[in-house]
Amino acid sequence: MTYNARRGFLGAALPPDEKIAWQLFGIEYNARKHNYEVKLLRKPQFPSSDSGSKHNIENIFRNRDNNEKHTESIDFDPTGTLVATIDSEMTCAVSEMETQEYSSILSIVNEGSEGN
Amino acid sequence: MSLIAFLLLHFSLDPFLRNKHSAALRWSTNPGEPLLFVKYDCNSLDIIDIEREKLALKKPIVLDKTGNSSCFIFFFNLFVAPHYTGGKTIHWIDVNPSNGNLLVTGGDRGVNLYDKRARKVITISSTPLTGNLLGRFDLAKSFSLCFSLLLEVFLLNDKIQSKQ
Repeated sequence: MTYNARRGFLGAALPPDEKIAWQLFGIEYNARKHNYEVKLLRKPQFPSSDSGSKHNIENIFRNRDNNEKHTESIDFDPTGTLVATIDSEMTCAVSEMETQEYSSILSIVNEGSEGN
Repeated sequence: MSLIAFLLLHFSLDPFLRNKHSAALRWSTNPGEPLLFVKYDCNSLDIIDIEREKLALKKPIVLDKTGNSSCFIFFFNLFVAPHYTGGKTIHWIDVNPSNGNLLVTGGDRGVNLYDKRARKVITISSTPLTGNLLGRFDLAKSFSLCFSLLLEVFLLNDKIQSKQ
């Protein structure tokens, strides 16, 4: 879970789900009710599997006990325009907040093994 | 029978000693610096350059090198619990809001500070800040648990044989 104070956005990773990667909530003050309101703004989906995450033997073992893909962590950039997520397959994805388009997708396991 | 005892021990103990290898990421708070700190496996840290779409480090940084000896872990993983990490899992990370070069990490072995410029990990506190008791397993606890389970298996075996 992460919060961007500048834009009043709350991002929450979800329990394992086939499509939805995380949820974006907007937190605003309601003067009538004298309280804060939380609204669900978006439910972005995971990036398509063929674009970034490659299956390798390490990922198979990693997901042996937890077959369903899920978002492990989420964070907004300081300006609140980009959001980064990492899922259970160690695929790191960065998307634009407004368009929800993925600007970069990187598999940590594959990159790490290639780099070494 | 010894094989059955081994398998029983292997599969009964493993879930209790398994540490969750959760990943975590945080943006650098330095203005105009498109870097992401990523913690993965139990205690590996890497930095992603978002503009170049590449890892900024050649090798991941091991955030916590303390814990039980690697020899013990090797045999413990081999014979008892394959997922046991030796109580050196990092559970959370966070970047200093005013200095994006400083990353603080917390886990089984306390709090560490990683300085990106100096490429050094400094231990701030050795007190574990986690409620995960299973993450604090040390050598003695692990062996005592192993021994008690093994004893139960052999007692069960004796009972079965006496009935036969």
